[in-house]
Amino acid sequence: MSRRPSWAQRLQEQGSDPDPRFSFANERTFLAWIRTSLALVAAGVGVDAFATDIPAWGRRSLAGLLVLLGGVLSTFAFRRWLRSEQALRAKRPLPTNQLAPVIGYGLTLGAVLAVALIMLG
Amino acid sequence: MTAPQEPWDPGLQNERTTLAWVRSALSFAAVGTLVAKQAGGAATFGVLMVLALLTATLMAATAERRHHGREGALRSSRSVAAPLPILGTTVATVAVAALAFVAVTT
Repeated sequence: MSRRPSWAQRLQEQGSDPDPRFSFANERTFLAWIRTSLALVAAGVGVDAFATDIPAWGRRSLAGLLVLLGGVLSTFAFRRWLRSEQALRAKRPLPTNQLAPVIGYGLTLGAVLAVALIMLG
Repeated sequence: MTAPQEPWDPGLQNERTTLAWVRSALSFAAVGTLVAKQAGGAATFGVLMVLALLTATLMAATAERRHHGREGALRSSRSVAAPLPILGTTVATVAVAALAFVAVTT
């Protein structure tokens, strides 16, 4: 294999290799969150392009909120992957899910904003 | 301890993982094509489109090789974790979001 940066090296040196099924599941979960992030970015871009009924300031804030949510979510996804892999290697319980509240509250805020903008416009 | 105790087929898990990468590549491609229409306008949309499509291409093009890599790691009981592709994907997603944020708020 090619050289690895130090953080990746450190990861592999901690604990012991977990059951590959768990590493695979961890990787797939990360990718699922990435796809969710990209869907939010796409939704934001879509609002910007197609929601012409609502005023420009409203369109930009809603689009910006959705895109920002997507970006933030992707960084959380990486952190979740890394902490989970570390927990798997150390045979500790997996860290609690902090991503679901972020997307839950964020989407609620977005939905409230969207409804308000549609009612106002 | 690397090998599970009960019988299991490692091939299926690796296949699901490869499919997950392919689906993610498609997500990047979808974002890229979505902004393609607006790419003629502001430069930010253009850069965003190129970045998203490049990421999609790279992800899809390396999928087969990484599948074989995981297969090899399974056989030789090495770790199957892929820190570099995962970090790369995170960076690409953050970059896509950052560009999109600038594009939609200006």
